[in-house]
Amino acid sequence: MWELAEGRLVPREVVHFSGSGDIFLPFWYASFIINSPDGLVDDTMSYMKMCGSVKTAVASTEAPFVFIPAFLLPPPQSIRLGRNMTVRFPSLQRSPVRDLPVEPITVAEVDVPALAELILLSTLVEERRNNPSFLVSFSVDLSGVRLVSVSFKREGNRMIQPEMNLEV
Amino acid sequence: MPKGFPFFAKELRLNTTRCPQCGFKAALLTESDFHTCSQCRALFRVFGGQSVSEQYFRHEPDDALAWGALIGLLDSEGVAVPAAATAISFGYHPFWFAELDNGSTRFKTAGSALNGYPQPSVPPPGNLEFPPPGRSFPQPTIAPETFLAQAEVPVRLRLLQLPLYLINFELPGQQCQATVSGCSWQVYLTKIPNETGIHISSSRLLFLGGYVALLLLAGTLAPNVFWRSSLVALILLVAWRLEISGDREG
Amino acid sequence: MATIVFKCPHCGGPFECAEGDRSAVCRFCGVTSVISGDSGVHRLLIRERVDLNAARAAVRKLLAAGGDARESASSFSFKEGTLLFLPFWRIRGIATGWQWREKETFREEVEYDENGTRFTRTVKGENERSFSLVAAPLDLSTPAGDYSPYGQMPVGLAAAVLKCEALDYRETAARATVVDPLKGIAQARQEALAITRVGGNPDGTVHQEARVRISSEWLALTYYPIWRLLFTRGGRVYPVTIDAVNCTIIRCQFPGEEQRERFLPLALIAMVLLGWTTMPAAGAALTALSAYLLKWRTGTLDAPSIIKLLAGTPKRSVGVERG
Repeated sequence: MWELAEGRLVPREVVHFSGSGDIFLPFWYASFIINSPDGLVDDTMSYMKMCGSVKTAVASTEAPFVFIPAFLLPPPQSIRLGRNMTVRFPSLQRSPVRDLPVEPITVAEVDVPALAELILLSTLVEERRNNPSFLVSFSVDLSGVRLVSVSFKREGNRMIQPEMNLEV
Repeated sequence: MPKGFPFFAKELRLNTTRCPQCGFKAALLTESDFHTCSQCRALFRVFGGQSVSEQYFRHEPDDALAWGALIGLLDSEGVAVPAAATAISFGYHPFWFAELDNGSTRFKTAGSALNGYPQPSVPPPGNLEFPPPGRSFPQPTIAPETFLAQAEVPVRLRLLQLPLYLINFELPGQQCQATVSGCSWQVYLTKIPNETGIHISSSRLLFLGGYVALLLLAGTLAPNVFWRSSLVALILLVAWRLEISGDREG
Repeated sequence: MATIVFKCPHCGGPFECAEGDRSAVCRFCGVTSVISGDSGVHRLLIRERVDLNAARAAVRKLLAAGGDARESASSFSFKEGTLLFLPFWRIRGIATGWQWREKETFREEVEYDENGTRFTRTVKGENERSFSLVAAPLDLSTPAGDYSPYGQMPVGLAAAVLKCEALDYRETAARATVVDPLKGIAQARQEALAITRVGGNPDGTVHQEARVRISSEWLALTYYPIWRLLFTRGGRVYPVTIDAVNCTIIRCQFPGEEQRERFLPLALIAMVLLGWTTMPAAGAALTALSAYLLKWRTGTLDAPSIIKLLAGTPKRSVGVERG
């Protein structure tokens, strides 16, 4: 796996996830801690509370994860996809298939924190986003940043991920 | 351990500073303000603990060109009365140029020689060079910390030597000052002078005096109105021709 | 500030340095490494397409074509010409972040007074609060210094459509002046971010917060060519800036011709003296006629204007000006 960094391709280890599909889309994947005036958010349960999620099946005390699309995508779509991936808390399984093509990585690791902050902000309930003191103090610390890829199925111009109900 | 060793170690402790060119943590090996970076060999100076690189704009002085740039500008701005230079002095003038940690920059004179003359407010465009060995430039008389506000932290401080012409000139009825930059022949004027005074050249006065005298002579000596009118018309025509030919020559 | 990651040549550990740094200390083994090269900033050059002769010809053509200066176009003589390469920061990337704005709102209320007359009044409504995510592509070219003496250059478009090549400093400096950048990267970034703030600062904004950063940043210094020509006339110097890519005149300021009343002052003097040397009544009448003519010609009868007219002080007409 190669990463486009500073105009050059450099090798990078990628963990391929999920099964049925014909192309792997790469994502940056990291656990995060949110610092905000409402307190520290460092587990999935408190993060779900913060973003007003009604999903309780995956509620746990484990660290939450954020997904940042690492391939070329218009910025609004990239944020939407990252948001959907993050709030669906996918339970990813290592893919037995390894020889599928992988979309080139265009988002550098140095840009991951800024994009992660944006994606996590977009997952929050509207009342919080309309509070300027909350926004100014809102910060995200990432740890264990790594590259993963999720298999998608090509359908015409679209790429879909049926298990997570995602579409690009 | 020898008794004198701690003292010896203390003697060896060196002051260091960040090289303003390459950023290397350079040791200050001389007791003067002038130092050389051991990495990139750049010459730099230290003012009050702050390392400063000195750079200058290469320029060949030409007073006539500087004066030409000033009167060319006055001409283009519609100042029609003639300007006369009373003093032109060329020299390099030191300016502090600081790049701050917030991304903004500060630029201000580092000397007092420009008092009263208009000054550039931003560094002029040009090719900056490090001073060659043996070439000296005017020293700053204003300390770098005095022109920066208290909270401002420079990440890079430079002493730029600008080639400037300080010009005193006069227009009829007023004394003016201008600064011309040798970098791009840019003219700095506090304002374009107003044409308040009335200027009549001596040749013009002579011409008008002669014209009036001739008319008076013809008017008083002519025997009648016909002769008077004819003579006045003739003098008028000759004077008009002279005026036109004078313009062509001028 | 973008960081660049290198492998330490001593221990092999990764170490980071900020863009523009020339040395960095490895946090694993403590060895200082000196970084040579341009540290990630591309230096690109747009090659000139116009030579000195073509630039001179463009100025001659302009002088011959326009304004009152065309009569004396040939009186301006060419002195010297310099090819300059001016650096511009080019920043491409994606502006990412958020902005929050609180805005006053007003609404019109229709009311009727006791006579039944309809009138409207403006009533302050609830403040409007809006949050938006910023994720917009960014492509900005900004001068890396103050080029106001040379005029405004449309470099943004040129850098996007023209072929750029890597700057060979030695080769370029041997035939032209390569101007040094005096505006730092941080300032260029701030300018780039300032123009991306969606909607700017509309009227009625009472409170605004924003956090926008540049991601996927690509940074370059683009050197753009201009000709700087000096023309002279009668000891006066007139600088001209010409775009060395498309040969348009970016900036020049040539004076118009001096305009002077030649006949009128002489005729007025002759008329007044003719009258007074003939008889006082004729003198008074012709003086009055002269005053009328003066008023008609100059629009005023104040002493300085009359003296200026008689002294032959010229007036300057509009010349050729660009930029």
